[in-house]
Amino acid sequence: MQGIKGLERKGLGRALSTLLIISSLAGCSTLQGPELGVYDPLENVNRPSYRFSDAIDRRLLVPVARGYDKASPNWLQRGVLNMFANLRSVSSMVNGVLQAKPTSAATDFTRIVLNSTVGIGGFFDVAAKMDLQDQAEDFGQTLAVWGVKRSRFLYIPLIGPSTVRDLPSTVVRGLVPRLLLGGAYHWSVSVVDVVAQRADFLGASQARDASALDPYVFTRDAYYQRRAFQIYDGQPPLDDLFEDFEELDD
Amino acid sequence: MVYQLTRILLLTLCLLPAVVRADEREQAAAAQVERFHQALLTAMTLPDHAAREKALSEPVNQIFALERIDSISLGRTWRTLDADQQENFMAQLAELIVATYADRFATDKGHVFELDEVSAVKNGFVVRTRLVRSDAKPVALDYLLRDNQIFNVIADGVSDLSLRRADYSSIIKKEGYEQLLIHMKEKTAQARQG
Repeated sequence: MQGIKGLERKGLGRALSTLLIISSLAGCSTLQGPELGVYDPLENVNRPSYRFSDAIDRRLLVPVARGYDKASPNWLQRGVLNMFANLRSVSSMVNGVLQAKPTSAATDFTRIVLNSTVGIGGFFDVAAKMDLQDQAEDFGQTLAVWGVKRSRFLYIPLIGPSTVRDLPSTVVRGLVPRLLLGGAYHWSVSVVDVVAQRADFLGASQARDASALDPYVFTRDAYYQRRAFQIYDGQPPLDDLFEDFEELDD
Repeated sequence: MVYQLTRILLLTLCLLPAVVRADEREQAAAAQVERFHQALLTAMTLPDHAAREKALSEPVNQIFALERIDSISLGRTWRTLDADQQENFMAQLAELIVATYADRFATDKGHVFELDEVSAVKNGFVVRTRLVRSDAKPVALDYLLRDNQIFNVIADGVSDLSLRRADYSSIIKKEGYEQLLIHMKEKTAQARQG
């Protein structure tokens, strides 16, 4: 609760002003590229960034994540992820409001209350068992709903895939524990957050390594598709997908 | 009044077969996906990769529209290949798909596939399902079917066919078609090693 009060006093103002500055910059460069499709005019810069990040990931983060995965039981890993997801539900709730999705915002609010209390600080996702699922809204999706659909791809060194439009939400995602925990925050919290997320992603990255002939293209295209899925709340227009394949099928 | 009712009744009778046929096609699409899921669940009980590949080979070759997947995966390059080359690519891709599924669904972790809904879209059907796992969040699995065969699988919004096409297009552009075939063989071998 001290963390929440800290947010009200200082963090919220700082966070919102940061968001406004970044989103105004994002808005300047969104008038080109296919709607919600891959747009990568900076591929010559993004590829070296990907190679550098991938090398650091494989040499440093993956061994730590594997150690964490082996050393900690599934229930503990799930609990840690739940706690960070609970913190991010605050941002998700705010973005639900910004997108004029009252049901989504109300679901996130209910999740926060239930999981923070009955779920003991978010460790247990009690709300999911009542079919109140994580809405996972963010500012990148909000900008897309507001009309900012086209955006060029960025591979941010050590952070991962993003677009110019999604950059504010990528930044905020990393800052959420610091903003919400206030005085209770310690840098080790962010370390645990990063390692837990990476451990959760191990299966997906192994699937990518097993399937991809060009892992950069695979990562980039999967990112765009996943974002479209999130922007459409899990219901992207499948008619469009059929049409795209029909054009190729001639 | 009687005339109006008669018209409505006749219209209903005329449309009824179409409605019934549409329902039958939806059920057929759902049955295809269910058949594929059963094949995966059976494969997960088998002790080694070779056994899983053997169990999955026939269902994959029958349920998946492999020729359509091949032509879409290669895009314009497909039209530049002669008949033998196309047949060779089809065989390579079928092997890779089967080996990949045999590798990814190697152990039974209490996976449960749940059918959510079947929707008719332009020229095909979408069968929406969910893979429920005991140790992770559920995964939305959408299957796109045309002529009652699966040609695309979308997992949490990520399209297997779109990724494959982008991936292969990149390799063909940088290294050429023959090198793509070599990479595909390498991936198949890797999947078999586990």
